[in-house]
Amino acid sequence: MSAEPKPNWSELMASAQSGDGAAYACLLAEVLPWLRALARHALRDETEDAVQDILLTLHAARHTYDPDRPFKPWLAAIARARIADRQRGQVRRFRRETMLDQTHETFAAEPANMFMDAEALAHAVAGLPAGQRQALELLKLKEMTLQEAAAQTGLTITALKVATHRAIAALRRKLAP
Amino acid sequence: MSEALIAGLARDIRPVRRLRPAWQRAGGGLLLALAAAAALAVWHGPRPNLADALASPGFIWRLAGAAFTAVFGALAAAQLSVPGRSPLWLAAPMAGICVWVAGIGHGCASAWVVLLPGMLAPEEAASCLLTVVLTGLVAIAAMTVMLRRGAPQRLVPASLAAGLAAAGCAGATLTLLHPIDASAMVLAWNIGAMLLLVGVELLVGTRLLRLRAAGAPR
Repeated sequence: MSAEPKPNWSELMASAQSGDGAAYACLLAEVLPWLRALARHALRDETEDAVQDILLTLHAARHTYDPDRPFKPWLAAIARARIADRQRGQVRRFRRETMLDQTHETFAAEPANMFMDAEALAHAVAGLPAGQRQALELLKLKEMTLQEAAAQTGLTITALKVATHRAIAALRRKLAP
Repeated sequence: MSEALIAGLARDIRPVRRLRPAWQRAGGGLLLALAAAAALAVWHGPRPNLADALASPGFIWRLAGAAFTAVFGALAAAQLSVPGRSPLWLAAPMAGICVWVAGIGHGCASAWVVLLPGMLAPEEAASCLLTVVLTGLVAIAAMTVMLRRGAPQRLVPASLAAGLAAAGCAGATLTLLHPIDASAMVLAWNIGAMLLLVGVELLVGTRLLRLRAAGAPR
């Protein structure tokens, strides 16, 4: 049995421009795996969101496609632009937001908030390297935000988070029973 | 998920009118700018020494350079408003700019005329500004409408090309209508008009295109 010929994307798009819904659905179903692969390759997450952005832009821009030209470069340009938008959004969110990690969480349950020997804790904090001690004091004792502490110390937010994480790990090791 | 989106888009699809070829869209925009320039020419009249100016190589280079920048800038903007077109189209108006700047440079090198007070009457200066603003803004409006009809995916190159087209229109009109041959003034008006109009298109045009892109699908 001979294999069914692969649908011609240019012809399907030309039909879709005329309002053929079946051809349009067939075309979009055909390109979907390729778009997902492109998005997955460029983005760690939000892949499906990026694919839907591309589909919506394809829909809004379908009047610009020239059936005498190949379809794939036209769609690839739209895909690149939407993926680049998502990447820029991810960078902006990373800069603006503070991701929660284990050291930022606390629990209401009594056993989680163990009684600490204040003198032992103060001695352990004093024994930390200067950078770790400063990060701990600003973020945990003075309860500054990361942005405020970064502005005061001149360190990056990432450096402060790393210093805080190391300081707490070091205190755990020193104060472990 | 995406499959549900596809089903919805296919169910609600409507026929669309395909975009006209780039040369037709660019030509339409340029015709509007030409109409504005013609209206200004009727109101202001051509420069007094036009026949003498046409014999000057610097004048011809400036006029030709500005005109080429306008035509190829408009064509590049029309091409760049369609996804998948080569970004090399942005190089098209650059050749016109080189000729335009060469014309300005020729005038400065052959006869540098120091700017003296009163060399350009205030009324003439205001008229020059009006020429730049009117032809430039009409051209910018026409180019922006053309870009919005398309779907540029890279807004800055498309807007830059449109801005250069507007600058070329204003520069050509300025050269034909105003006797600004003093070297420093040729530099100031031509380069100033180019920077102003490209800046306006990059600031305002890209914002309008982003608003358009953020709108609902057709």
